[in-house]
Amino acid sequence: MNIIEVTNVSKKLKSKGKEVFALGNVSFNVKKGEIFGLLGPNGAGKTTMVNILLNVLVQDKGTVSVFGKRIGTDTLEKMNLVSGDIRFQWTLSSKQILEFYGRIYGLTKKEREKRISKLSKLFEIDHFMNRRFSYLSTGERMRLNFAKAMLNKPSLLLLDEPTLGLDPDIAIKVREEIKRVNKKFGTTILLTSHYMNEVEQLCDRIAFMDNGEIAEIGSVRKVLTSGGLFDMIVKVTKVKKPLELRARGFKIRGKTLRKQLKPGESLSTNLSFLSRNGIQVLDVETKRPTLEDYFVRVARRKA
Amino acid sequence: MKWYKVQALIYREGRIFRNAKYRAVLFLYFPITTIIIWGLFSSSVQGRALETGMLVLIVNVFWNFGQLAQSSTNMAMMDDSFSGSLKHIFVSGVSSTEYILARIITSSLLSAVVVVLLIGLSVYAFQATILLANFSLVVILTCLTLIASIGLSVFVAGMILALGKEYGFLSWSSIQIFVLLSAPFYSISVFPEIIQPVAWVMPFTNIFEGIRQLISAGFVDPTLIVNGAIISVAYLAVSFPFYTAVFRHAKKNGNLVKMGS
Repeated sequence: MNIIEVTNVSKKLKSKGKEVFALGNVSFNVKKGEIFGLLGPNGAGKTTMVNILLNVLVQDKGTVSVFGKRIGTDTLEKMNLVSGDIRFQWTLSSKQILEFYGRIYGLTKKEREKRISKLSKLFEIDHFMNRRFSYLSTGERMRLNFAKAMLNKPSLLLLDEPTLGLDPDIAIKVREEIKRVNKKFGTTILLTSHYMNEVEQLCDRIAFMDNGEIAEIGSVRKVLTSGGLFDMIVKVTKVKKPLELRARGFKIRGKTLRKQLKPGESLSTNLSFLSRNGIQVLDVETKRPTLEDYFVRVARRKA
Repeated sequence: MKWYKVQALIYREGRIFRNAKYRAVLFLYFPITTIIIWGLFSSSVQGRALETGMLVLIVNVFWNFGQLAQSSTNMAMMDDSFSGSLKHIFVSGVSSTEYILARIITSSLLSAVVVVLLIGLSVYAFQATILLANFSLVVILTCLTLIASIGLSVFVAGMILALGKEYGFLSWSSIQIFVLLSAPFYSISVFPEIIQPVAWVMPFTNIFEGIRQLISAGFVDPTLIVNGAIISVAYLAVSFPFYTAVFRHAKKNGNLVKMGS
């Protein structure tokens, strides 16, 4: 069952008097219970897409449905947002912020007390419940953000750059939290990030966005292998027949040969080729591409 | 519309007010010091121009009340915008109507407290006993001022959404032009003829005219009350669809996102 269905969504926005292309024909869907990543460099259109899903921005073309419905206040009540640039009213204490959102979600006094107490323990925020938002550290704000996001037990959680600007140790904790929320509550999660390792660790499927369009979509493995399964790096005693090697797709740097293997292409076939051409192999190393590599590849394509 | 969401927003505003007590100073400081200034003026001209002094004092009571009712609604919205919390309120399923309604209720309560203080100060410190002697009329004029100010605040909220965060200054400055054209201390006849029809449809014109009549003749022509009520309600009736339409448009052109974060 699809929780989010986005079909051919396009959006242009005005910036400094000029119309800027923000999204172009974006289509994807997110299944129930999965962690779906929207990945891409700054300005790729990730936050624009999230804003459309949150109904604070309306697309020019295409359709968006959440829980099988057009987005409105009733769908928003079953969703929640954790954003890297979260800012609550600075004079309110953590407890007052949770109390306010609890009321917004229509929880009774008893429900609010119970849930706030449970979440404050879960996200370890109980020691700063009476502290004002303006006095909280970035990590504390993020934990409060998560507690607020779980108040309405959302079926869909949108995480917009949740680890942006966080110290590595806190970012690790946040990632653990995301996994825990997904496993424990079965919450469907849409995550935007430009941290490759974060997406690799967390997501079941990803869409790589570039310039407002989806460049690749599928499982992390599928996206990774879209340009080649892995790299083979071969150290040889002496490079012979360089023209044949280049024709075969090898890149030569000193006594090191490097080749990106395409899907279905085996390592042994290439090693036999080297042996047939009298090239003595000293060492073979294979390198699985990371999303970082994919990111760089897309950036190069753009350049 | 879900009433518990409006209540939640009122609860939040109450907590913000309690946590930031300097806001009380902000809301009380200008109206009270203004009334003291014009009250002293009224006392000093008592022997020569009592009527003028009273007029300036009482018009200022209503002007400050109207300004507070309008600006506190819009300034609360700007506060949410500048603190970056506006977007998070709307993504929690709060509708534009629930949001503005909560703001209006809070501002009305706040302004009601302030107007009582201002009237009390005028009566007891500066002998504006005419306000007590015509108490029911004063209540009617106060209600009309409040309705007109609410209409203006909704209109200004729409204007800020349409023009962007940079126009947040409208929240406290916009009322000035409406007061100017509503002829606070002078008759509408001082305006050039071309302006006069505009002046008659200004939100406070009939109210100010009524105050002038009350001070000079001791009564208010019921036509002024009726016209004042029609215009105030018309402002309110027109401003809501305007605000709703602008809010919808702000979702399309990205202004809501810019305002909210």
